[in-house]
Amino acid sequence: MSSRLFKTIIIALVSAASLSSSVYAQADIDKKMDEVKLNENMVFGEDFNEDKDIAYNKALLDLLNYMNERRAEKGCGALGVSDIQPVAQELKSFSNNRYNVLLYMPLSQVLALTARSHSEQMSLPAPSSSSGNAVAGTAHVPAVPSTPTTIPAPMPDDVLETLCNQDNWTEIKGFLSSFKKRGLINETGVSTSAAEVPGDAYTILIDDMYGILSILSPKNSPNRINCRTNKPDSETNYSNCKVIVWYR
Amino acid sequence: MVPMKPIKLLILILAMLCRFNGMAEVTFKFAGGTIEAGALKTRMENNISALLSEINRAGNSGGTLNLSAINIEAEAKNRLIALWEDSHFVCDKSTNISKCLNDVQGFQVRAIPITMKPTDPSFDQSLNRELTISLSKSGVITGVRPAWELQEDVSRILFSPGGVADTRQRREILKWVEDFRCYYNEKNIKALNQIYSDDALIITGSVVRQRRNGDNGVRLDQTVNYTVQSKAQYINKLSGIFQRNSRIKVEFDHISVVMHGAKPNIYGVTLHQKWQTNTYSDEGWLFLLWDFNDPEAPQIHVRTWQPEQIVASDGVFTLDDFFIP
Repeated sequence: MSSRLFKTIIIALVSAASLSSSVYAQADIDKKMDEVKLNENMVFGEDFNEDKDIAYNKALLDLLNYMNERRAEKGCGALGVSDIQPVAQELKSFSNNRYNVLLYMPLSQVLALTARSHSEQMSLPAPSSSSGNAVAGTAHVPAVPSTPTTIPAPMPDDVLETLCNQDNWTEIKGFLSSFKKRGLINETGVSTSAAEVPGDAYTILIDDMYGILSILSPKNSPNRINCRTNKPDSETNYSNCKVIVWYR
Repeated sequence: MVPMKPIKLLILILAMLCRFNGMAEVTFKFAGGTIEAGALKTRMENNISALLSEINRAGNSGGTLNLSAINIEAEAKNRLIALWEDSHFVCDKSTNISKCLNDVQGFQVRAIPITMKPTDPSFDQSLNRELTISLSKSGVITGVRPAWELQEDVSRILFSPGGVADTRQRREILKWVEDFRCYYNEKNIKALNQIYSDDALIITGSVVRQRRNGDNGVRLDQTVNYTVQSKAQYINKLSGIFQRNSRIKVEFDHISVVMHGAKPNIYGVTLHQKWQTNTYSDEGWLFLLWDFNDPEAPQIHVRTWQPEQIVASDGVFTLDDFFIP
C-alpha cells in the first residue's frame, strides 16, 4: 500500500469519525428534545430559524404564550418574558441550514412562578402632568402632584420590551393603544419637536416611512440611552426623524 | 484487485458513514399534555404521519402527490394539489412533535419544518419554511399550507398584549389571513365572495399627478384619490382579472393585528402586499377590518389598499378611521 493511499484512509477515517460523532451528538439532542416535547409534565416553546438569536426569541415567546395558557387554566395570572427567561432551560441543534431552539420548564414550576412585571406594575407611581390631564394607572395608586423634575417612573419591563421589538409605527401604535387601555402606560403624545416631550416620557423617533429610528429613555434619566441597543443616544442623531411619539 | 483511487475511497467511506437524509417515512406525534389520549388523537397522528410521508415521497422523487390514503377534505386536497404544482417541499425531520392547538373549527398543528423545492425558477422566498395543518373536530385534514414566510411577523402576531383569549383569537386570525392570501393565488373567487361581507367597503387609494402652469413655470401637483367600490363591483372586477391572467402571485409581509378597544371580536389587520400578475405588479399597504363575531365564518367589512407614496404622507387606514356599529 502506498503511503499516499495510507494517508488518505487515515484522513477519511478521522473525518468520518468526527462527522459521525457530530451526527450522533445531534441525534442525542434530537432525542432529548423529543422526550421533553412528549412529556406532559413539561411545557415548551420551540422555533426553527437560520438565525439562532431569532430562533431563541421566538421560542421564548412561544413558551410564554403557551405557559400563560396553561396558567390561565389554573387561574394563575399571566407572566412576562422577564419572569421566565432566567429560568427556562434550553436545548439547541443545527441541521438543514437552521437552528432548532427548544426552551422548556416543568409544568409545576410554571404554575408556581409569580409575575415580576405584575408586581412592578402594581407599584408603579402615578404619572405627573403639567397639564393636569393625566390618567391614573390603577385604582390602587393615588395620584401625586406634578413637579417639573419628576424622576421617571420605572416602566413594566414588558411594555418597553414589546415596543422595542417592533419595526414600524403601525405595530407600535396598536400596542400603545392596548397598553394605555390596560393602564400599563398613562399618557401618550405626538410632537415634531423634542423640546415638547415631557422629561419623564419615553421617546419614539419615527421616520417618514413609519419606521422606528430609536426608542429613547426619558430625558430625566441619569444616562439617556437607545432602549433597543442599550447605547447612549439622543434625538440629535436622527436628522431623518419626521415625528416623535412619547409615552409615560 | 485494482487499487481504488484515494479520492474515490475517501468519498465512499464518507458516504457510507453519513446519514441518508432523504427519508420517506415521517412520523408525527402530538406534544404531551396538549390533547387527550384516545382514538381521535391516534387517528389524527396517523393521518398526519401518512400525509407527511407522502409529501416526502413525492417531494424527493419530484412526482405528483397521491392523497388517496389520506383523510383530507376535498377542498383542502384540491388546494394542496394546486400548491404542489407551484412548489414541492419535503419535511426536514423524520419525527415531528408539535403542540395540538385548539381552534374554532377543530385543531391546528404549526411549526413542522419543511424545505421548499420550488418548480418555478422565479421563486425568490426563503427555502426554509414551516408547515401548518388544520383538522376538523373529527380529525379530518381541512388545510395544509406553508406558514407565513416571515416568521418574525408570526411571533409578533401571536405575542398578545391582550391575554390568553386574545392569543387564541390571534392564532385564528393568522390562519384566516394565510387562507385569505391563498384565495388570491388560487384565484378562488367563491371563497373571496364568502369572506367579504355583503356590505363590505372596498377603498383603493391612488396618486394623481397633474401638470399646472404657474408664474414660475410648469409644476407637478400630486393629489390622492380614493375610489370606493361595493363588494359586487370589487368581486366582478377581480373575476375579470382572474380570467385574464394565468398566474396571480400575492405576497404579504409586515403584518400587524390590533384588537378594537371596545369590541373584542373586531380586529384591524394591516399588511404590506406585493401583487403580481402576468401583466401588472404593484406594492402597497392593505388594511382589513375583520369581524370574528361568527368564529366559524369571519367576515371582512372593510378592505383598503394604499400605494407606498400615500402611506408615507397620509398613513395607513386603521380601526379608528371606521365607524363600527
